[in-house]
Amino acid sequence: MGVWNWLLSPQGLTPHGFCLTWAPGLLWLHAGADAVIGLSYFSIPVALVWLGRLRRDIQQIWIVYLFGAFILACGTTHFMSILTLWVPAYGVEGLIKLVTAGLSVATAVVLWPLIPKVAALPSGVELARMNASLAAKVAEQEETARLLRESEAETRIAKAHLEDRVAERTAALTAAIAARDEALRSLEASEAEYRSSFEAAAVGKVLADPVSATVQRVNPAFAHMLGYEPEELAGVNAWDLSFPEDDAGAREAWGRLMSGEDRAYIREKPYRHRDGSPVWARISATVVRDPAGQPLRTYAVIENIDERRRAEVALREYETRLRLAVESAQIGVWEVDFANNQGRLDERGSAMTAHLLPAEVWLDLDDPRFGAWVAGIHPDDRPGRDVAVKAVREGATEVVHMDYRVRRHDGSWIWLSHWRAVVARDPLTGAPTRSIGIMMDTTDRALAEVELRATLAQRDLLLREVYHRVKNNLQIVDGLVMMQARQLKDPVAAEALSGLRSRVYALGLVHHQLMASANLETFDIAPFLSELVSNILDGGGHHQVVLDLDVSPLHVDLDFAIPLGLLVTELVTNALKHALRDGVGRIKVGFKPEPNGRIMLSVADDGPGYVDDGSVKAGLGAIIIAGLVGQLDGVMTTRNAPGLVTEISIATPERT
Amino acid sequence: MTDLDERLTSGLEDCVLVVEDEFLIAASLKMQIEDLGMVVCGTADTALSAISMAETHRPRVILMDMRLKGAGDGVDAALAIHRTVGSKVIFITGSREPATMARIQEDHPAAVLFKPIYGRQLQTAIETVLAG
Repeated sequence: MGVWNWLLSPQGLTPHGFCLTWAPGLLWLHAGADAVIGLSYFSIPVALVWLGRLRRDIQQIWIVYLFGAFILACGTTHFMSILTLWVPAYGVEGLIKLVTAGLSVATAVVLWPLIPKVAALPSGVELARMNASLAAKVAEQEETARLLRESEAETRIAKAHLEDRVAERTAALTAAIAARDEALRSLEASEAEYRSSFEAAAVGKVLADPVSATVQRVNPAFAHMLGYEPEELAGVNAWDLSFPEDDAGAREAWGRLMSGEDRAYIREKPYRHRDGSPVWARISATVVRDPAGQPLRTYAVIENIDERRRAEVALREYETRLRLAVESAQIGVWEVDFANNQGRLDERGSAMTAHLLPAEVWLDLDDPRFGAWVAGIHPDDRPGRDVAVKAVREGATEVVHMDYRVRRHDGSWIWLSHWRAVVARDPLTGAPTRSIGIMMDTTDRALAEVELRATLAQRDLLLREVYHRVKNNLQIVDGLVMMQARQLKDPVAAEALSGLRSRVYALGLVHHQLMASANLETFDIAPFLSELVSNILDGGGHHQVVLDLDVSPLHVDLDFAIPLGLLVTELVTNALKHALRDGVGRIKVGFKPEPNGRIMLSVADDGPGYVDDGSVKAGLGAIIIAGLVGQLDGVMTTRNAPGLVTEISIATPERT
Repeated sequence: MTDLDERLTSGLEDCVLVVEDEFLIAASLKMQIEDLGMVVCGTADTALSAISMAETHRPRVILMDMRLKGAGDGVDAALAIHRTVGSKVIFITGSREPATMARIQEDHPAAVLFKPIYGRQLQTAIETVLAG
């Protein structure tokens, strides 16, 4: 209800057709006319909108839209007039007319100021002229545009060129930068390398101030060479590290380096080790200068040559010794170069060949003079010499020795003692390439040996003769004793003389053994004792006495064998005389080395044992036994076990 | 034994010839032989006299010293006596040199005794030779 009803409710109102009395003619006239007017009006805004679309350039187009809205509103009022013929919607119609009124006023208000502007719009002729001029301008512009395009193309080309150049320049710059970086890196690397080569070098390196000679930096190799750590040597005066007082000219040479006269300072000299001992080293120093030529610092490389120097000193000493040996021994020296098939002799060696082979000249080994030399070698000695020479030449052995005789011009023979050693071999094949030989004239020695052998033979002959005569004389003594014994009627005296004969026999047997020995000086005690004791038993007719021998072999000389033989003779004779009176029993003789280095001589029987009842007086036998035991540095003990056992510990004879 | 040996030894005397140039040795040997109850038919001091005495006495046993006065030695004499008489020869020597021993072996000795001879060695040697 209210306003909306008033506006929209047609109740209580009468349609307009009523005023026309619903006369169909009037009704349809109004309705038709209003419809045509309304439709026409409605078409106009469409045209205006189209215009507005076409002429967006017009600044005041909103006026056209306003005009369009005004026309549209007018058209709407005509349709409302048709509606109100049948529907009394006068409220709505009034509102629409109010809107139309507003739009009319607005349109009218804006139209007035627009007139002068519209009036200023060009006319058709003017437009044609303007068009022509515009066309001309357009053509001109097109021309300009073409020129512009051309210019643009040119610009593009130019730009492309420019870009190329920029790229080129950029690349060059990049390369330059990379090169600079590389140079920097390489500089750093080189510095690092220098540092590490300085620090890690096996040779000593020293940086020092050239004027004051103050050490600035040393590497471990140098410091350790002198028993220091590198830090300890910084700030030390370089001259204090050597013995300049003993090195005449060192400071002068240093001065020449400073002045530029010498480019390097090179010396071999002893340095002072921490413990004061000298260490030989070779210094090579150079000086670094500023552009003005002033010395900035010195750089020295110091190589430890102590070992080498020692080796050189040792080598010189060895060479001197060798020279002395060669001189004193009158040695001739051979050199053979297998690689070049040549040989050379020194002066003394050449003299040994009676200068058949020249001195100090390399001779081809196929030279006829070598052949002549070899031909002069004694035929008996040549095979041995050939074998030795071949062994060295083929490298089968390192050193050979050959003794051979060579015939001299006068037909006499000289004896040569020749040593030859391989001194160099091919590193790949191992075949000898060089040999050195020494040759000594041993003629005098060889002749002396012959003479010595003859003398020895003569000595042997004489010794045998002496032994022979000794034995013969002992036989005479034995004969005399035997004849004397026959004269005696007293059985005790005869018995005593018989004892004498056994002692003489023992002496003879020692000489008998000596005669059979190779050197005529010593013989084996074992067969001697065996023969001695057996003969004592046989000689006395004791065939029923069993002999038990346990004798170790030992080579002894006359001085030992005679007292020992006599001692055994006494002991065995005693056993036979006292213990085995019945001629039946057993005798054991032992001669054995003992752990204490002495020898145990033992004689034992299986008789009743010895009883000192005072009936037996100490006779000659006892005196002889005691004396001989003393002579042999012996200690004698006797015991009954139950037969008598005599044990004598005697000193082992010294081997001569 | 060969026939020759048989013939030779069959006509030998039971006596001993001592060939020794040292008088004292010869004398002592003679006494020892006589003590054994044997007869010594003579003593010779040279090889030649030994041969002639051997041919004269034809002893069954000869004690022969190696070294003798004059020319020839015991082996020379023994070889000659072996051929002509056939006595058993016991050599007595002071030497033991290989050369001497080899020389003695040329005569196939009945025994070899070395000087000085001790006790019953001589008796044993003679008894052995006579028994053989």
